[in-house]
Amino acid sequence: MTLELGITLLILVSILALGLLVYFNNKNSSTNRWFAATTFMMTVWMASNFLENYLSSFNLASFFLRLDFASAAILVCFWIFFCLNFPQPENFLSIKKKFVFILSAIFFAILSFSDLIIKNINIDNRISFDVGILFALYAFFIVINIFGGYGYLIWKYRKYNSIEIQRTQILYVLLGFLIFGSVATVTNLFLQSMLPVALFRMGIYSAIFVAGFTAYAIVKKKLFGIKVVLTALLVVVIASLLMVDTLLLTKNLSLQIFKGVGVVLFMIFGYALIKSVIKEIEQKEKMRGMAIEIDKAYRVEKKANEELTELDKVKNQFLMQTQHDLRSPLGVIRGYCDLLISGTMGKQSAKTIDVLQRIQMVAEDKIRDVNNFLDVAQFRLGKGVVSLKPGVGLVALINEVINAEKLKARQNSIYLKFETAESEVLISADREKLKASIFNIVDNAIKYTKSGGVSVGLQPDIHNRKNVLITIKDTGIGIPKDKLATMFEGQFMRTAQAQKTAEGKGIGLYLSGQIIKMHNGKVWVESEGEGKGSAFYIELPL
Amino acid sequence: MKNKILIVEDDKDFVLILKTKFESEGFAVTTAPNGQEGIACVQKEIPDIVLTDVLMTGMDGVEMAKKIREYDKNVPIVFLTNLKNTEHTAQVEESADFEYLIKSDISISDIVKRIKEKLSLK
Repeated sequence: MTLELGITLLILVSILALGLLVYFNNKNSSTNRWFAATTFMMTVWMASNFLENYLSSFNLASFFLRLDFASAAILVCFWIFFCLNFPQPENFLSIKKKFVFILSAIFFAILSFSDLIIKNINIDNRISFDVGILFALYAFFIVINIFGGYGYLIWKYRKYNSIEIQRTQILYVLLGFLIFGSVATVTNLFLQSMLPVALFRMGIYSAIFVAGFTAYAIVKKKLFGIKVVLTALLVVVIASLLMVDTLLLTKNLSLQIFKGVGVVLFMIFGYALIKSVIKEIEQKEKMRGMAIEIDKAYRVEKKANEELTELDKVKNQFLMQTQHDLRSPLGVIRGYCDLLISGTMGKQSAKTIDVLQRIQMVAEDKIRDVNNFLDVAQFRLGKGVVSLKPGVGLVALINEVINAEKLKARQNSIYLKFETAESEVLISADREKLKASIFNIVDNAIKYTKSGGVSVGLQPDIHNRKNVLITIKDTGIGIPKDKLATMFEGQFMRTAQAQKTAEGKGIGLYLSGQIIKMHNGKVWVESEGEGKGSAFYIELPL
Repeated sequence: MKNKILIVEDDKDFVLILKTKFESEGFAVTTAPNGQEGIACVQKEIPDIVLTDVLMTGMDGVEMAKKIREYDKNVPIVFLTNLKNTEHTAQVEESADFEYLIKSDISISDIVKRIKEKLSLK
């Protein structure tokens, strides 16, 4: 019996001390307050639980048995409030719900002193009783709250990021209460009358897990921020003991002086120890803060990457859809003109055909504008739009461009000719893109030539046949010297300064420059000045 | 004996243009607005050549062509599209006896010319 009393007292005092330590460390924190309240109710419950079997007076024993039941109801109530406030206070329940909850706990606590929950108490051999009509309801209230608290803490545990310290804090506190609550429920609520007293005490003893795990979390995981307090407390207690020994128990003066020096040294050492603990905590806090920052940054970047990939998909779909929607109607206009011009719908007058050809030309120009625009969009969006394939015939390609532009030249009353000594020159190219880029330059030359004409030439490098040079010479308005360098920059690419000096040439030439660059070629323009025509050069590797 | 051509295209105007042109050139023309109906027409009409759009609501042209190839290895299939997507082009070019024409780069008369060339090679 003395051993049991000793163990119970030890656990009781340590739980009470733990609660007080936590409470006085930060009276303003609701987390600390509810922890202290819960541990206090634990000690009340443990004391009454112990005393109901320890005392031989019937009146006292039955009082403590009823207090045991009453305190358990209040204890689970405090436990739930602790869970709601740990590790940070949260408004999980509305004030109204909290009020109803407290009322029901008080209701069960008061009923514990009636015969509705327990009755016919007997202490002949050991304390025993019969269950009252509301016992089942009481048991349900206790169990649902204990396990509800576990569930809520587990839910919070999962919510925290794995490197956040709160997660570990929850884990330790949860473990302590999980062992205590489960053991106490089984032994003291359900098997109360069946177990021998020694086993029955397991419920009280298991409270040591709460103290143990919480203390561990306090020291190792900085729970309630009282590692420093624990250290300081230890230092002060030892220092006090040493002082009592020195001042009261030591009679010899020289020994007193000797011990006094020891006490001072210990206090200096203790001070250094406390300081080092503070420093260590600060360091760890800083490191943890950094780790969380890094983790956050990583998450942000990961999310941004995912969003970018998604955006890229949307962008591609958008480009595809735009291509389709813009080109389709233009193709239809051109197609109908084709039918009418070729006489499929009956013979047309020369005047009608002339008009149809003009409509068709506008549609074709627009189709090319759309193509250029979309190609530029793709270039600007960083999508590879050029795929080089060997065996592309340049003579045939240029002839196609000339044929397509012949009509426009004729309508402008200028000549357009292609002269070359070569029968065919094969290079690696993206045929459609290269054709579009040469077309843009020829089209540009025709546009700015009012009289005379445009002549296109093609000749391989005479010396080593490493390159082939395409020339597009016109007798048009020419280009001022200061603008030659910026001819192949899209207006949208120019700096504000350059925009003042160069007039916009649209996106056609810019795109031509980009495509030729992607063929590992060079493009440049020469002009003697305004009114003296210009010559465009495209150099492509053979 | 007229050459039979199947035109699979969801743009009604373009269908009308192609149908008129090919009929005036002496072809027997069947049309279908999407891949599913295109396959049905291939089985029913047994055309000499198939001219198909790529992007269509319902089954697209590439998928339809693959399905047709499962039981007909010979009928030439010509793609006619607005798409200038290099990835897409590559996908079609990998498989034999497919040809790929871009609507904006070719006139209606040229389409007829290419189809005739393709048929005379047979």
